[in-house]
Amino acid sequence: MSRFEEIESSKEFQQLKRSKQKFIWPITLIFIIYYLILPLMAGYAKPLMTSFVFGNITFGYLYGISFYIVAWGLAFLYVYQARKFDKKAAEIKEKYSVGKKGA
Amino acid sequence: MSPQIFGVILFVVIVALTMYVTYIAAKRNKDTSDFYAAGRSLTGMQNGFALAGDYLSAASFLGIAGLVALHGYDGFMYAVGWLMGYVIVLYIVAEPFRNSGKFTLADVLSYRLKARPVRSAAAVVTLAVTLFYMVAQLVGAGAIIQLLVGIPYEAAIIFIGILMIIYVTFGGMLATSWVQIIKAVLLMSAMIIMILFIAVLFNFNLSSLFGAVIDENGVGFLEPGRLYTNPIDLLSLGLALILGTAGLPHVLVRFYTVPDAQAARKSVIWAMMLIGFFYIMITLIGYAASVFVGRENIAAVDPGGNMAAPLLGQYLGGGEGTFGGELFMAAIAAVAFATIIAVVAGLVITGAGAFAHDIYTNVIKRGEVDSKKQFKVARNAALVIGIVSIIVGILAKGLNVAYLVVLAFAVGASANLPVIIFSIYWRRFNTNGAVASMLIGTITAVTLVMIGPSVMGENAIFPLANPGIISIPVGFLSAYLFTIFSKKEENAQKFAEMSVRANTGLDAE
Repeated sequence: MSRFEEIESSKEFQQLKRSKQKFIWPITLIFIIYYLILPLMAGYAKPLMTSFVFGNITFGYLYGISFYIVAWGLAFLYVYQARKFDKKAAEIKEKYSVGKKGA
Repeated sequence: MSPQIFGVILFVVIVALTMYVTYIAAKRNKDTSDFYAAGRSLTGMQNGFALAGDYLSAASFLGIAGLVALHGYDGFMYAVGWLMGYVIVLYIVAEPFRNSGKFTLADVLSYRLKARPVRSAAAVVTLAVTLFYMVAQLVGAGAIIQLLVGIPYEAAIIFIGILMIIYVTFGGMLATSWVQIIKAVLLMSAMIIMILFIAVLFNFNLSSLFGAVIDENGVGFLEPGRLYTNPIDLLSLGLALILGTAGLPHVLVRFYTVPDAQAARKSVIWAMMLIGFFYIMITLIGYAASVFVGRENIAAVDPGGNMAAPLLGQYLGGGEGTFGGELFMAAIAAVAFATIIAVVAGLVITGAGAFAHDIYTNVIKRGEVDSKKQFKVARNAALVIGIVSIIVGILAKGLNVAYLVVLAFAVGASANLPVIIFSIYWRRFNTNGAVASMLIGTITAVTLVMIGPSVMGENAIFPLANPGIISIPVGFLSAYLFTIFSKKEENAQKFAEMSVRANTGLDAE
């Protein structure tokens, strides 16, 4: 068994992988669906999209801007989570005391 | 000093600055790791700027400003999609990609599968995507430079072509990256200046900008559906944008220029900030142009609206014929030029990697080439790809090739993304599935565009201009079906290796 297989079959590594997957996939899928609602709203909810929320700002404009805010928010959420994963990965590399490359 | 001379000076300064960074980079450009990956020497922030410089094209800068100025809300909605793909890049692709590859997209895809068939297919798809993108960029660039500066189309393409060949063959990825960083800084600065002018005119009040937009164009201008009448087509475009970015080879290879996955992560964050602000600002510039320049005037100069931002610059600087006005417009023309050269240089180096590293070194020579020879072949490949691009760009003069950009995203999402995701995350995935998905995904996307309204107009057999809604599921399904209906591949050891590398960065190159 190579050291890669040894690490891969370890409990810590499987745990790291699972917690990563549990974090990335639901958010990605929900985000894709959230974005795809935009063209549908544009096509089928025109009155709502053109209604004014305050001043001359329409719902459609704020809704569009919300995508930028959400994308940036998710980016920072990712950084926050990834630091935890980095720590776990470092522990695994430490435990199997392999190589000096990587952080 | 006349303002036109200022434009020429700015233009010469950009060329001189990029040549200088190429000269510096050329001294450090000694082997394939320098050539393809800038010696992995970039910081996350530098690579973030380079990513933005690689991604934001003249079609975004001039084209989207025009779309918003002429069509209002639909232009704004179109712009939103361009940032969204980076969430997928960040969450799913960037770090494992950085950890398990070396120089090209094919490195990752062929890691644990049968190397030669997968690598060949990946290289062909990379070359196809790069060619589509390149032709669209060059044809647009030739026309835009003709419009802005008045030099003939062919001359503009040859000039841009020679510059991109020089950056890449001499300076490799390091020079390409710095050309992109310089462009990103210039582009963002120009836009921030324009936005400040606009903000002052409207007393920093967004609502009064939209008030003026309504006074000038009517309330209907803020209503969706003026440009995109078919929501399903728009959905199909949205799918290609959000899923295609993570399958664009020239975006992905940028992650090899940083030392590790943490820096790759940082570069996406920087890129997302820059790209997001860019698209928010460019839509405001478009709205402002519809107020100050007027839709008729913009469309009179160029029916596609490409002159909306330059004409707005002219207005903000004092108007036509004034020193400030002409100066502002000349500056925008110079920035558009910087934008173009940065994008095409990134495409040349990506194509060179697919050709030299994938097809020549690993498929034809099976990896048995000494590093000196590899380096030489890489530079020659860049030269050949540059020359071919110039010729194709000139031949395509006058053709409407804007749809090729969307096609590049569709192929990225239909052919590359399924294979990237499955080879990183799905143990059972095999060579059959990978090759089938890449070929079927590409052929489906290309065929649907060929029989769609972009190419066949009124007589279109396929009703949508955007193939994504069909071709992306087809790509994912063929990857899945061809895998489960073919024999299991014995690659447990390789999968373990890739999985550990992807998730921990162990042994990353």
